[in-house]
Amino acid sequence: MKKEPNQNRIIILSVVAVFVYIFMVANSFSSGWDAFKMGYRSAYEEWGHTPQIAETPGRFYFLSMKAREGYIQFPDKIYNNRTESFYPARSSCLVVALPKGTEIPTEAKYFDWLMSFLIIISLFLYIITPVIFILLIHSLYTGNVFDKDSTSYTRYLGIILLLVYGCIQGVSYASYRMHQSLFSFEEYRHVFSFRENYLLMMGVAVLLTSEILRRGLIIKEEQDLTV
Amino acid sequence: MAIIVNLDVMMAKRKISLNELSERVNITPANLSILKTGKAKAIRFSTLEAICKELDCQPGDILEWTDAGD
Repeated sequence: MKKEPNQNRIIILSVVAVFVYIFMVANSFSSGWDAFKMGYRSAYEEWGHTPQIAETPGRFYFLSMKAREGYIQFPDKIYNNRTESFYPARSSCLVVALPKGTEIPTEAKYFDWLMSFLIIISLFLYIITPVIFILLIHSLYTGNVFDKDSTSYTRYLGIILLLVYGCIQGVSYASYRMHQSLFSFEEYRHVFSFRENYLLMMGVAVLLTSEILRRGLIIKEEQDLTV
Repeated sequence: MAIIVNLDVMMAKRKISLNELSERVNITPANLSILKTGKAKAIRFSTLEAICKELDCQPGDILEWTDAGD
């Protein structure tokens, strides 16, 4: 089969995209590795196994917070070994361990279940994304650019990116509401913020690309039916 | 479609087959079949000229407009 001029570029860009995807997944996994280990140990003990360490605090919660009075407030202090003095400080993210046996409000349980459900959906979407991407690249590599399959795969990718974005915001919001029902601090308030906004941009851009490809498909069909 | 192609009528009048006409006008039988069955989206003037020359007819003998709508 004679190679089209830009097939090498398609191969190179596809390989780069795969590596970027692997890097993104590995990076988010490594940044959440501590959280994973803590969650795993917590669940391990909840299943009735003997704790591996004598005193284990219980379940861990990762809180996003802001000082109640805004940027001018520094409710905490931190000791600097270099200058041997305390500096004013404030936290934006805290890991709090809830002691074992603490009663969890029903509202918090509901949001916890919602988070788990959305995380499972996200994992499923993360798994099928590279599959659809490979199908799309294969379609482009064989020269079928303006093709129903190519436009469909591109559209699916765009929709999946938007769904992943939605799931991430859902998890973030459920986490925020769960933490609100569990914790209340004198000098801090809980914060909800939109995360991974680049996924929204990517999803919209990919959907726009799929519409452009679809338009090209219509033009190609008209061209094919021009005698 | 609002434009009706009467190529088959002209071909029957001139007693010429699809394959023969395609050879004479230098168009593939597949494309000519697309035109004959009314599936074509557009026709080039060069193609129309070649068909009219070969069938000795006017474009209006092959193409007809009706108010059928889409």
